[in-house]
Amino acid sequence: MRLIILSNLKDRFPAYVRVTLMLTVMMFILSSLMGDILPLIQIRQAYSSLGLENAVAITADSDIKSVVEDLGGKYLGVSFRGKYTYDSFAYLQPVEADYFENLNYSFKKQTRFEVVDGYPAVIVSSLGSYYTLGETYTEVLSGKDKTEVTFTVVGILKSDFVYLTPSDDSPSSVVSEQSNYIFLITDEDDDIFTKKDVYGALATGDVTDFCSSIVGTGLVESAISTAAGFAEYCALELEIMGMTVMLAIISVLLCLAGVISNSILSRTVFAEKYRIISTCGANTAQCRTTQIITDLIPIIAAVIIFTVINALRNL
Amino acid sequence: MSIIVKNIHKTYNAGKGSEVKALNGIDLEIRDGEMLAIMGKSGSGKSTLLKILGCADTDFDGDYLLNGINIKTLSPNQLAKIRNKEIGIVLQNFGLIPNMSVFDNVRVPVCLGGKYDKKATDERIMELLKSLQIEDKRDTDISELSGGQQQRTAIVRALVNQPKIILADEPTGALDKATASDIMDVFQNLNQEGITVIVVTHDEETARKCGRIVILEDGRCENL
Repeated sequence: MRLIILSNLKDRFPAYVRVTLMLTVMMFILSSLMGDILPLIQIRQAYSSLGLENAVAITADSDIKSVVEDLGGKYLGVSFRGKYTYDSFAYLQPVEADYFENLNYSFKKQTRFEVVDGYPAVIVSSLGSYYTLGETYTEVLSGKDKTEVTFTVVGILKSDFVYLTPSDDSPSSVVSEQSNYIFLITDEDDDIFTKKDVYGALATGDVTDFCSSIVGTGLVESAISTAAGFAEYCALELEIMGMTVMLAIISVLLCLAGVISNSILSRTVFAEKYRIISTCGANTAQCRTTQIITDLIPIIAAVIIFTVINALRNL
Repeated sequence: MSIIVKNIHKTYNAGKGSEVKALNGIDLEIRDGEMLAIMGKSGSGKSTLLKILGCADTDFDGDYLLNGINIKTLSPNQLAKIRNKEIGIVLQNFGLIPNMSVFDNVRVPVCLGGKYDKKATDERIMELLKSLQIEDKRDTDISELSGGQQQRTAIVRALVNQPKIILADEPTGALDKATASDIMDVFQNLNQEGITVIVVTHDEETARKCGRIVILEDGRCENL
């Protein structure tokens, strides 16, 4: 059978190379697409597991510290999304003393999402460590170069600090047009907002007014419930990804068409060969197995090439 | 290995406008060790009969007893095994696999037959190649061979599993006179070694080298 498979490959070598390349490209496209979609799935899980759906988000333009001081309550959560350039830094400083200290943080693509101490956490490969309970950080977010870096981070600050869903290509205008912070204040312990308040605010549909009444007029540019913000974020992300998804679907369909037509064509081209080996004593199963293995070879080759290239890139 | 064919009918496209009666009641008995030529014009049913004799087609009316066994009672796998072990078939226009060396082409039936002793097989192939004077072409791609050399390769492939019957479909059709004569000599030698040889041909000269000639006409056969 090996003889026939080798002969098949030899006979249609250019076609099999084409199919292998097509499949490899398809795998890269799919992998890239999944890289975009997975964070969305993760953030959804994180919102769900942390109960952030019921928090109110206040967007403010002023210094985070003073706002929190104005709030006079325990700073339970922080999230922000916005656009940053090289010259524009955003400092995240906790209310409660030195939770953060001189940690230069830049967004890397190589992040993994895991559960640490029961909380979802992002492990940044460049740092090589977890943000864990009791550690202190100063979080500086900036662009790596003069190119604009946009991102979204939703974080929760309790006794530990956990990042959720960093992404370096999030839209900047979900909540407002400028760099901004969103404070998440829940009803735990001595917080300002109670769940009842939040529900009330959401029920009235005017979260901005509600937040302004507490933080102070002028400090709040816009406010949005985290659930609504998240929904908007997801919608925008998906809209941005729409073209990619379409291209991915088209390329997947093209590749499938390529694989199927190659397989059909091979059967036609090899029909005479199978007739010959049939007279030499090959049974139907042997002919079919030979053809199936021949068809599988470019698929296996594409998987190997994809894996090797990915491994080399990650080195 | 005896061959008995009783009242075989074979119709292509039965019941359709394009219906063709290829065989119309063939009766034939071929004794073990016989060398037989089946002659006939184009479309007389020669190749159809050869396909049936080679166990490559069981869709016919009538009986075909191979060594006393009705082949219609055999499963496709059993028939494949017979084609692999008991019958060596030399196809029209050689039927060699392109992009393969002479040695690999010859090895195909051995590989299809399951596990085998590589050393012994290689030795046997070399012996056969030598006996047909193409041992120096062992690693040559078949596309680089002459017609006679290709036919010799096809014969070696048919012989590699030491069959008891050789079926040859127009083995000299694509060859010049001298080469055709050489090839027929090879078949005669094989027959003298005890192998039953059945040659389908439309060439009288080729047929005359066989011990018996059967003429196929309008799907019927008669001994000459």
